[in-house]
Amino acid sequence: MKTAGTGFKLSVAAVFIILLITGGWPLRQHRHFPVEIVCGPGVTEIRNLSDYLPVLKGTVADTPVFILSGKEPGGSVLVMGNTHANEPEGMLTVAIMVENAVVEKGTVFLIPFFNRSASLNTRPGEGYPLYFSVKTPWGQKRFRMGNRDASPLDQWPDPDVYIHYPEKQMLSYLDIRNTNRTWPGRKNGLPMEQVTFAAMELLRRERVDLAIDLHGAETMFPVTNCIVVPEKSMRIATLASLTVKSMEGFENHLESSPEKFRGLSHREIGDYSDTLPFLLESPIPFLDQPTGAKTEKLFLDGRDEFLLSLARKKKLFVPYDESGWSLDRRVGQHLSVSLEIIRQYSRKTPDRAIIIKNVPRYSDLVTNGTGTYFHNPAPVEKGKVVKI
Amino acid sequence: MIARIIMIAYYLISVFFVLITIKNLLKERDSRDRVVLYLVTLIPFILRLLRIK
Repeated sequence: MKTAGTGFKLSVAAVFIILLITGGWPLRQHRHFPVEIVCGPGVTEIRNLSDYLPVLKGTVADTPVFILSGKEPGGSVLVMGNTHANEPEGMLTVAIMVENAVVEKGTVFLIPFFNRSASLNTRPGEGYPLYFSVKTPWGQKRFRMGNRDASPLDQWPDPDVYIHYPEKQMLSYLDIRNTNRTWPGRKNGLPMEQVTFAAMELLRRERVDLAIDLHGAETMFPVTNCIVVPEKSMRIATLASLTVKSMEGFENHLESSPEKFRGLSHREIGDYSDTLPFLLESPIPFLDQPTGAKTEKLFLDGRDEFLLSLARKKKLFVPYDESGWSLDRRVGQHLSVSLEIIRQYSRKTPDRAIIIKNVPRYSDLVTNGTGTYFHNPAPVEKGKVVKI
Repeated sequence: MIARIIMIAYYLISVFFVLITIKNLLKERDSRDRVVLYLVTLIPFILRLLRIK
């Protein structure tokens, strides 16, 4: 039997050090890669989530809140993206709103990176790319691809069982780092509980009328391509769903928020505040388990031969064909449904109306591409570009 | 606050684990497989201590 002499140890250690460096360096770069968002003409103020919970200040969990106030007072809406950072459609939707929206009446609060720690996390074990790029008129705009949960670098260790506060429901240990399981949060809790508590404080202090949480889900999952709402939001959601189907030609069915499943935004925001919550799911073929390699191309165009085979066997919950389900469609759906929810609410409560202009809709994204609506940060003055 | 203290404690435990594994690695003379095993075991702890993953 060969013994483990010093020479052997040094050579094997050298191999492992090289592996550590070549594997670790891209992960470090990813964690420090800034996504640039250009403040559009409608942005009147930028705050941080820590303004609503000071203990978050200076931590990774703190994140920018873009405020767009109209000249005329009215109602208000909060739109959140990247609760799950492996569903970047929400972040892209909110970023497009930051860069383009102009508010004439009411106030719009936009948080593109709600779970900022999750956007700094990676999912290499499932072969996810570290970045994706969107083609714009001025070049490629690069974004981080994140993970569903906050990074264990920012919140660690996990409990054996996560006991939800305050409902005491037992959830998976991973979900303590999932900001769609920690609502309504608590002031003295773990970081992700503090993030959702800060958001609740925003909703309560600013007396926000609507909260829209943007997500994506697998095509094999029944809760996809839909709006999830509790009872009090159902009427507005129904009108929005019917309108986008008839006027814009895409389906977005309704799902009822289950009362017994705790921690989710569509349940807890409604139960712990007067705000009407809506959670939007767009179908993301990239997330499905039985696909080919998890490439950037699959993320962008949503075309996969294995999913096509499953679609022919009627195993998917969306109408899927050779055209896939592109990023443009997914972001376009989120924009149109969000705008429609706001419009339907404004019709129902004119004294709390919110009037937003200059935001593209589904057909604009499908025709022109998602990247058309991102502005080049290079020539923009420093104070108008936020790096997250 | 208590969560922060627990997190720091886990980092200190990781440092301790890395040190004793390196000590065992240096002492190991008989088995090459054990040397590789120690190095493989060290990787996630080093990545965590360097705050890479």
